[in-house]
Amino acid sequence: MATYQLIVNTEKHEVDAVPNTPLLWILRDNLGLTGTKYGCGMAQCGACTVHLDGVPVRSCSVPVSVIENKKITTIEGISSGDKLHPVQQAWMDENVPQCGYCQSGQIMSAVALLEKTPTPGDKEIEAAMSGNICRCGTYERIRKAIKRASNTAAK
Amino acid sequence: MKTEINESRIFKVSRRDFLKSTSLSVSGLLLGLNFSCSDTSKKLAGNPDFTLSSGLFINLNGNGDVTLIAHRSEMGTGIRTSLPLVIADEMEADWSRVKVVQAVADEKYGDQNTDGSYSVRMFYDPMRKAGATVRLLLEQAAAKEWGVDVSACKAQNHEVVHTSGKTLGFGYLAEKAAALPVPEESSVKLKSPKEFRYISKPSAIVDLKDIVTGKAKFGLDNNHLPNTKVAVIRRNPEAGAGLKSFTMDAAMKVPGVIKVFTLDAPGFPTYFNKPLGGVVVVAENTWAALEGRKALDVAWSKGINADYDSRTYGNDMQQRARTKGKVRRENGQVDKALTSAKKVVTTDFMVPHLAHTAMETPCALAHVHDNVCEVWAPVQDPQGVRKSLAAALAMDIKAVTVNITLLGGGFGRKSMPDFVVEAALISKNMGTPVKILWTREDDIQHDFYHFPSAQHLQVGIDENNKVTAWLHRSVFPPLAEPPI
Repeated sequence: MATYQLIVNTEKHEVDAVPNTPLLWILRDNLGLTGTKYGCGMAQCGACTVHLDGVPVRSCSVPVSVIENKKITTIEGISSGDKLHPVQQAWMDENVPQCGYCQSGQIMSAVALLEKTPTPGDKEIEAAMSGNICRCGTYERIRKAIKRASNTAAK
Repeated sequence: MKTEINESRIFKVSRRDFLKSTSLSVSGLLLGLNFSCSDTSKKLAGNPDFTLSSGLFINLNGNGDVTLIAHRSEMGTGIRTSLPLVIADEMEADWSRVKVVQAVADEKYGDQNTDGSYSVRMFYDPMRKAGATVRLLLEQAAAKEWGVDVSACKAQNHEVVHTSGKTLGFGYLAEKAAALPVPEESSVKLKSPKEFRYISKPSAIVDLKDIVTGKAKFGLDNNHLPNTKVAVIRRNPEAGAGLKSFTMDAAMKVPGVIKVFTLDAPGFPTYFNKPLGGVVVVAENTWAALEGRKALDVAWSKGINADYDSRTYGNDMQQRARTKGKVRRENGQVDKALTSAKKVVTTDFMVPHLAHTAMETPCALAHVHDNVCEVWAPVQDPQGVRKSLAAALAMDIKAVTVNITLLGGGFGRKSMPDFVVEAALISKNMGTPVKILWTREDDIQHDFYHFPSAQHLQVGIDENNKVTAWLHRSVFPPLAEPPI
């Protein structure tokens, strides 16, 4: 066991954990941030996607020992107060979710994509989103929502 | 359990029943729906005597707020939204004033088994009737208030409007409507489709904002019970077979692991409503449980399927599909048509054991204490879960409460109560609330698979590339109903 200082959604947290504990379970079990989902535990599905210093990572496969002093952002941390992030708003406007389980991860990947590439084309969207699986098959609306969020931001 | 509604009637329900079922504090008008059903598919359900006699509830509060109960499980189809929306439309309720509350498992709600893609087909008409009945009651209440004929009063978007233009709000009319006798079914008129306010028009699901903000509660997202432990199970790779021996020393050394114990194996065939058995590892957190399980040293017993090899079985089926079988359907003479075809395409198809693989693996939170059991779980068949829990824990069914969370996909896998029973049995053993997690590997290795099948096709094509002959042979194992 060791103690780790984490910065999650701009808040500081101190957690006790064994070094190889994946960030996913720190977020869910220690910090009660259940918006980040378990899907496969081996970085194959994207349901657990969060940002580490703005870069999308699969939190199920990032041990807590390597993330100290890095800024962690989860689905709970991208809106400011009642104001949704433009990507969340676009997700609502396009009615993207069905069961919704994968959507936290989808949104986090989309937010990271748009921060790096504000007006992505289809190919860039496919490349950035290919690690996020949706069993309901909402891919077409995800693409539309990303384009909508991209246009909103450009205005 | 597929049932078809033969008749439905509207009745008033006591406030007490409503309170009991939803834990909501309400006042005003309450209406229930009574479903009388008969089983139309004995071969699937196996319970021909099952009759439904229970209520779905509409609550119109004196302040105008409407609470509608969703009694079907949400797994991505939108059913938690669509059926309440149907009621709201016929009721002329303003959807922005409607709150949807998920029903717990209870037979009084009628059929809650959300499996088979029939929720709207089964409940569209009864929901419309229920909404239309409330609309008529509100119109009657307004007519009485104004001392006019009801034909001069029309419910419109949360108020009743008189031909003179004066209006009374739904909230104001709630208690007055509740005092009136429920109208005869024959006097209740459904809207014409062109009057629909919500039906047939695009609507957002009620959970949309919670989903995009990460607040939506799925099976493992309820953290409200203090001292909740996490459990995972090592199960025999051979379905239903038991345990020979195991050592737990290394597992117990993993920081956070609290207890290791066994659940009995059910034998083969396995059951929908009983755990597969195995070695349970309970820990303070998920990672400790997983690391503890990894550290187990287990030797499994062999059952009757120890030598089963899916590839051998599949190849055998494929061989059989290439030979003549029992003819199920024959139009014309396929042999002759194949001989005279310009070109014959011969091909084989094989479907393997298919796992359901919902995004959210099976999971549940259970708390068994003081002779009661409460669970929060993503389940398609809440009443089946409740019965299975009562049986597994030897408890009165009334002592069992099943709260239905959102499902991260279901596909039929979450119609089986086994994983919720696992959580409850472990909670009972621990004396604390317990969450059970199935890893993705558990989900794929221990699923109730769709059976494999083999197909053999010979297709004749003429000079215009038109199909002139079609020989189609298929081989399936029988779909056995596991014992319930």
